[in-house]
Amino acid sequence: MAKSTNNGSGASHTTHVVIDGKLVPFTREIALQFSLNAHLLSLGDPKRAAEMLAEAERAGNNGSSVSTVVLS
Amino acid sequence: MSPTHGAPFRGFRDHEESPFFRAPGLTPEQTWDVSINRLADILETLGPLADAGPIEFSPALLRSWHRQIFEEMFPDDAGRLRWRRGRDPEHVYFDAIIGTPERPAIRRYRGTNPRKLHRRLGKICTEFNTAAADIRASETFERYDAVHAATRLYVKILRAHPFIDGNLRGTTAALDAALLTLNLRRVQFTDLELHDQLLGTAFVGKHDPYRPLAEHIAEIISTSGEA
Repeated sequence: MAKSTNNGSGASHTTHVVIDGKLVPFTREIALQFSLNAHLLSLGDPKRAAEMLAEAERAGNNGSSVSTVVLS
Repeated sequence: MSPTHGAPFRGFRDHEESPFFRAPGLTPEQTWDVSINRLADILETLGPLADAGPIEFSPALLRSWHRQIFEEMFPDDAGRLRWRRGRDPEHVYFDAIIGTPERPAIRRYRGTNPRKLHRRLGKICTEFNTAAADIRASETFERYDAVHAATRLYVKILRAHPFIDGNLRGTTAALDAALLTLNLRRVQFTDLELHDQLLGTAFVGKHDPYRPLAEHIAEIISTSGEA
């Protein structure tokens, strides 16, 4: 397996993730998105999870910022 | 996004029948927000933890993650393995999807017997630790072998269902930690339906049932590029 821990740019697998095709630092915001994803999975009802995100977006609760991650 | 993190996810709530639906003194939405924040806290610590050295899995570690997510809201049940309610064994039941995408069906599972739970978790952790040590020591292992080991850990913990609620949230931390300690990127399941379907297949337990989910995780990692 690949043993390298970074690609020479300092972007190691522990400090960075790829979101929407872009390598980005694993910031607090990304951690929250990953956490939200786990919470939606835990509902065990993907359709309901999608509806919740849509409702949040309509209500202006910034659902749009997470929907691209969760539902893309 | 605010560094205090609560606001963006307001409006979400768990299933009403969930034991962790609503913490005393909080609304269901506040309960959801707190657990979002606490799981995010854990996910942030996993990178430095993996950088510090191999992560050794144990029932105590799994309990500590669950405790950290839920302890301020559900102190009696956070990090507590199922055991007894009064004189009765504390069994837990959960549904999983089986069948094909065209003809899905729901199958109800019972988590591992509470009397066997600690030993079962110990065995799951030891299996992963051994596989991880072999993978780290070898130059011939393929990346898929590492993904497969992490997938087995994830599925087996979920199948055991150690806690009365919040199992998938706690096990998400375990999957992330397993991937990171094997030098792989953490993953996010963007297709919730596919995740549930592949997890249901993994629960069936015949003919390398972990492979479809492992291949999906490998594909997510592959799409995200090499570390």
